[in-house]
Amino acid sequence: MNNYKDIIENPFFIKWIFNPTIELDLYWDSYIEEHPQEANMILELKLKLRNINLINNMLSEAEKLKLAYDISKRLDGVDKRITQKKRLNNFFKYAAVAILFFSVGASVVYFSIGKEDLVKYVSEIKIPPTVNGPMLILPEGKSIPLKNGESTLDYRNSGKIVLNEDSIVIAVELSIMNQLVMPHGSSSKVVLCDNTVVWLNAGSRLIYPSVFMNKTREVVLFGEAYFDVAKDNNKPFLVQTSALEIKVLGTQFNISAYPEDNVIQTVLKKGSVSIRQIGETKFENEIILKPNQLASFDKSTKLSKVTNVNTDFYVSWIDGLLSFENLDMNRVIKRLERYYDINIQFEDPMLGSIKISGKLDLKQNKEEVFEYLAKVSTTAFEKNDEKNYKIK
Amino acid sequence: MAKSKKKSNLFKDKTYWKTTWSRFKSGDRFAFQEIYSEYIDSLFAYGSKITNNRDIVFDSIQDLFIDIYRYKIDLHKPESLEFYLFKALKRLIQKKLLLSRKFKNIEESDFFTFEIKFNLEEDYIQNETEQIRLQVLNKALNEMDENYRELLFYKFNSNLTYKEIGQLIGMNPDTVKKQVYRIISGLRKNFKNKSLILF
Repeated sequence: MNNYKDIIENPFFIKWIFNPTIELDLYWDSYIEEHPQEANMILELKLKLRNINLINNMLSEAEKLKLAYDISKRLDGVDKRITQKKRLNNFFKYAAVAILFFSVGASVVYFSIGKEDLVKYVSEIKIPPTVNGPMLILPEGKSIPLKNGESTLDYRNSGKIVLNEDSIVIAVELSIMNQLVMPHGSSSKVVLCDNTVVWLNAGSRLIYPSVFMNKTREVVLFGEAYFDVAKDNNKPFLVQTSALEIKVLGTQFNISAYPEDNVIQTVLKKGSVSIRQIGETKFENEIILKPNQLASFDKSTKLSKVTNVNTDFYVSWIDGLLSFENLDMNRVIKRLERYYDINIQFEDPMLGSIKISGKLDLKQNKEEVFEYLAKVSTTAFEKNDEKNYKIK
Repeated sequence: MAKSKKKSNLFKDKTYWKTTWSRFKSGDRFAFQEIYSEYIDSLFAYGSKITNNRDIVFDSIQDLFIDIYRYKIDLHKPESLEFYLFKALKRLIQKKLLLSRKFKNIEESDFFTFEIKFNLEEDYIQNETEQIRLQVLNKALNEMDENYRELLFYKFNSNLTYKEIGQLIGMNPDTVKKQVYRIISGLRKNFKNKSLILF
């Protein structure tokens, strides 16, 4: 019997085995239904071929993004040269350019559950160049504005999202990717379908599926978030950032990975996490964190440092508190800028290196917070306008 | 009728990609995204099999897209987009490798190694005999001629035709086809008859 050749020649067969998608599953289900005499052959071939696993070098989602971004930048360069030469008023071209690649932050959309979903997601989602307020972005260009300040999203009821503890319910498809965008001044608490809770800090983005359908639970983070991951030994939880991948089974930890910061900080409160540099395949370069440890990864030197810390200093922000010990004024100010969505400048850059210890309650009026901070640091805050302050 | 319609929605064919290609050349960035998302994984995997030097692979993939866009490269009649991408990427990488060899800032290990590693998923291994058989199978796969390994890579990672695969590795299309059958039927026999002979 030679008809296994016909099956192999079916262009969707090999694809089905090595890059399966829901559509391909459906295709073969109905094929087998229509050709029951071939069922055994197909299933046998599938089982056997699946045993061969070509080890391919894979790019992480973040690397794919970076590469797409670099290419798109260079394409823009080509466009510029062409327009300079021809002065073509090709506005259509620029309309298309404007959709995806405004900034690294906005080009995050490439994350996906599977390859096929990726294509769908990328082609369907549209991101406004800058968001005016906190927003939940769904594929098909749907975006749902959230209230300023703190909001909550709950995915535990499959098929719908409960916004702000039952005030609004949104129906969603199970497989879609969600992108939650928190501009400066807002933060959010998300309960994922597996009971994992994520606090997303101001100036951050989190991308995650409505339902975790794969062998791993994967999310992408740009910015800062605190994770309380529900334990599931069979489905590791992975957080991807621009340069690191953090893998956990069930634990509590904080990641600060703002694109504008040179250091990515991971602090573990409970359990255990492993940290891997994206693109690095060797296991010996993984870092395993113990509770009360901080791993600081320097993006320029690509080196990590592990130190013991008081985790409260890193996670108290989820309660609207900032506490710190011997922290540079620079870092404190950065946090305040994100939290209140303002700009603060130092008149003398040296002031930025003043070390500060203490606690700030951010829920207070910001003027009160500044007053307190000024007292502690023996500086003065000067208000230029609603959004701009200067430290003397 | 209804069925064929469904198929064309689900699976993007040669013509579809040809249109997408022209859209990309005329400046449509959606088309770029689409091509990029569809092929980046296999292009990167492919490039990494030609050289271990990641930077060269990254740069070459960038150049590939820029060249298409800047020089408005056309697909010649029978060529599929996928075939063009593989062919051009191979050329770009080899050019870069030769160039860097001239300046001696490259290690011998960075050079033309079409290496394929096979991994047999352990989940399927139930008993010891099966395990031994898998080991033998794995060994046989790894000892295959380099060209055959490259061939398997294409067969499992792309939609290239036998003719296109043949062109990429300089082999007669019939030989390519025969080899694929031999490997697959060897695989079947190996499990069915508990025989250890492959290929």
